[in-house]
Amino acid sequence: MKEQVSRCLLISGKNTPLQEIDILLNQKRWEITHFILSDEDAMDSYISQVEPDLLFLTEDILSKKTIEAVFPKYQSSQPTYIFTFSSDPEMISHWFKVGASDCFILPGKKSTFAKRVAEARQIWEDKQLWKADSELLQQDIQLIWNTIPVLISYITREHTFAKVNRKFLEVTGKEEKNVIGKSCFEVFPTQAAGYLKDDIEVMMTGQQKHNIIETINTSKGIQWIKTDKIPWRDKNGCIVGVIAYSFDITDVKSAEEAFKKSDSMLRQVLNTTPNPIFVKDKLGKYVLVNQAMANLYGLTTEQMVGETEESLANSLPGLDQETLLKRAFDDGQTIQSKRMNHDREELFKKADGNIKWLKTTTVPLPMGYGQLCLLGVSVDLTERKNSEILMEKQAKALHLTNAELKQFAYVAAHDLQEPLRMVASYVQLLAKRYRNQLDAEANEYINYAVEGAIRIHNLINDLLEYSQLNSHQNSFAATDCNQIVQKVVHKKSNLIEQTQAQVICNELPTIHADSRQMERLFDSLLDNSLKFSNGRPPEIKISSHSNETAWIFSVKDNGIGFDMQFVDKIFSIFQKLKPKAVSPGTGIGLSISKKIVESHGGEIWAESSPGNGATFYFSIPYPQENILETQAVND
Amino acid sequence: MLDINYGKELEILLVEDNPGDIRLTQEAFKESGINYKLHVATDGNEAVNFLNREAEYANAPVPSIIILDLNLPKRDGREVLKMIKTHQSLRKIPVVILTTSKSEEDIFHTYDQHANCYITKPVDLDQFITVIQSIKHFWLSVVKLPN
Repeated sequence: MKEQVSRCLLISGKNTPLQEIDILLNQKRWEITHFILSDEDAMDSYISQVEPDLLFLTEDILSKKTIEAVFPKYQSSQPTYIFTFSSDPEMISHWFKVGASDCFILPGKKSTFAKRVAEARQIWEDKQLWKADSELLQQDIQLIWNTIPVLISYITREHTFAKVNRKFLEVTGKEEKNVIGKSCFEVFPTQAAGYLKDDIEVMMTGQQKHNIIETINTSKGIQWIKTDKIPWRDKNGCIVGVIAYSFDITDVKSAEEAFKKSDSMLRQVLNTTPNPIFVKDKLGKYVLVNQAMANLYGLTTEQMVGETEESLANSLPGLDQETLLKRAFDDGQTIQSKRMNHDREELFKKADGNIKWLKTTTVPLPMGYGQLCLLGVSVDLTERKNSEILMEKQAKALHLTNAELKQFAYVAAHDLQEPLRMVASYVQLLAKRYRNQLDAEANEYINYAVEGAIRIHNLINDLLEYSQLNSHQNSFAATDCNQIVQKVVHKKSNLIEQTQAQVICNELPTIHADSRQMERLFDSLLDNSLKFSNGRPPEIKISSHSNETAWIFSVKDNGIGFDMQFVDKIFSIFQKLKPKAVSPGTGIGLSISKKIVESHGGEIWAESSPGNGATFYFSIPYPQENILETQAVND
Repeated sequence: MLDINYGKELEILLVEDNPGDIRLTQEAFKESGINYKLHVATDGNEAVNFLNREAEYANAPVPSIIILDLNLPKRDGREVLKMIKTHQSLRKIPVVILTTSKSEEDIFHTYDQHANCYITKPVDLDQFITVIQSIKHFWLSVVKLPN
């Protein structure tokens, strides 16, 4: 701007010290034109020719007349600064505009003319600078006005919109013509009443009002805004309305709402869960407890917050002090050691006198700013604990009963056998020693007596075996059934030879079982088939197949068979379908078989019809882990 | 086979409370026809006194073999066995357990206490005689015993 040449017009009377002015203004950027006023019309045309930026009038031509009177027709398209000099105090205080020009009257006398010209020039230059700055400022304000993400509106005393910025229109989705000059009620029918209340307050009090949280109708529906309202004053300081600055806080607000919602949801979850939950700070003060936790103490959640176990122990005599102090100690230890996870089982005596078994898991909980709290969650183990205690009692009772049974079985085995042996032995001794003195009938009687004794002996042995058939899981091992059957067949080779029996055994699997019991099982099934032959040599076939869960074994014979209506009876203890003369056994073999199969988790059953042989089946389930493996493969 | 004990009177201690069994054992030994002397103790205490030569057994001989029942009045067979097998000199004497019990626990425990053999009494008389003769044959003829 300073590089530009400025034009200066000096209008003077004849006595003006031109030389002085020249010196003062003779600088490159000033193009000075001097005009000695002769008549007013000539001056007018001169001014319009020169179009000066700066106009000086000397005192002698101004006198007391108003500038307007001097330049009635002065019209410049460019704003021009007019300076004149006067020693008249009234004139000095006066500045005014002539057309687009500002007119300054500076104090002074002719003698200080040069100095005053310099002053005028300074003023003019300052003015020019300010003008440039204010133009820039104006531009900036315009830019801000148009781009600021704040809704700005000027509202008049009559509650109409005087001015709104671009953001306002953008957010509200309205056109300027539908807002400016329109009443608040027209533009925002729903919210106007609320807005008005604040507007009136600001206008009445002249005080600013901040942080008004309100809603606004926008193109996207109702949104949340935060508004500051300040009084709108005119040049004289009179309040002519309100200026409102509104920030869109919908995001903040909805986050806040969402947080409130989730917070209340979380609280609801916490309070409805049956597990007591708490958070304690480093000093052992409860920061948060849920309803279930408060119930233990017989308090409300609010009452508990801020309390410690110690303070509760002191104020609540109904509670077990020891329990609370132990709790405090444990929690203190956990938080100090920062152990990741600590479980404890505690017997909690509730405020209402009930006793609860709690399993409480405590975890150090970092809460930000290096603060460490303790989170505890309890599970009510009371029912489980009670049933555990009951089970323990029952197990003890069962153990006692078992021990008694064992003793009983031993007594039965030993003490019953001894007299029996005496009867049998001495009857036999009698027969032996007095053979020649006894007749055939006496010998027959002796035979019956001995036979009876031996039968009781076998019966007792079988019964004992049946009662002692306890399979222990640790006696279970991989058992090759082929070997078992071989062993049994070998043991029975005499009987097999005698009966001319044929035993066919297919390839059998290796199973998880108690091998001794499996031997006994095959023994009694084979025994059964050999015993009940149909008058011809027995044919016995042992085979197996597998299904989804178990091995199925079968022992098939061609013997006398039985009627299926008695199928349940054959597995019952001491139940025999055949008369003694036909069946030499005690009738306990199949009962023992049943018990063995059941102790392996399987089932035993039979198919038969009289005269057509019988097939005995039994199943042995696969070990548990194998089933899981099979399932995993199938999945 | 050469009978190293031939001609020498054998001392046998039978610890048995049942008179019927005592008699049967005696009968069985009688039938075996060897030169023996059968001493009988009818309870555990008597057996212990006999072996320790205490009370009326001050002059009792040291038996070559002991036939021991398990279920006895007073001190029972298990205790007598333990006493014998922990005794400095008596532990050399073979102990044959002859009992009605077929209990696996008894079998296991008596062998665990160093019993020399375990036999269940058969019900049948002939079998019983066979058993007694087997004992006699094995322990008094087949094996060599310390003097």
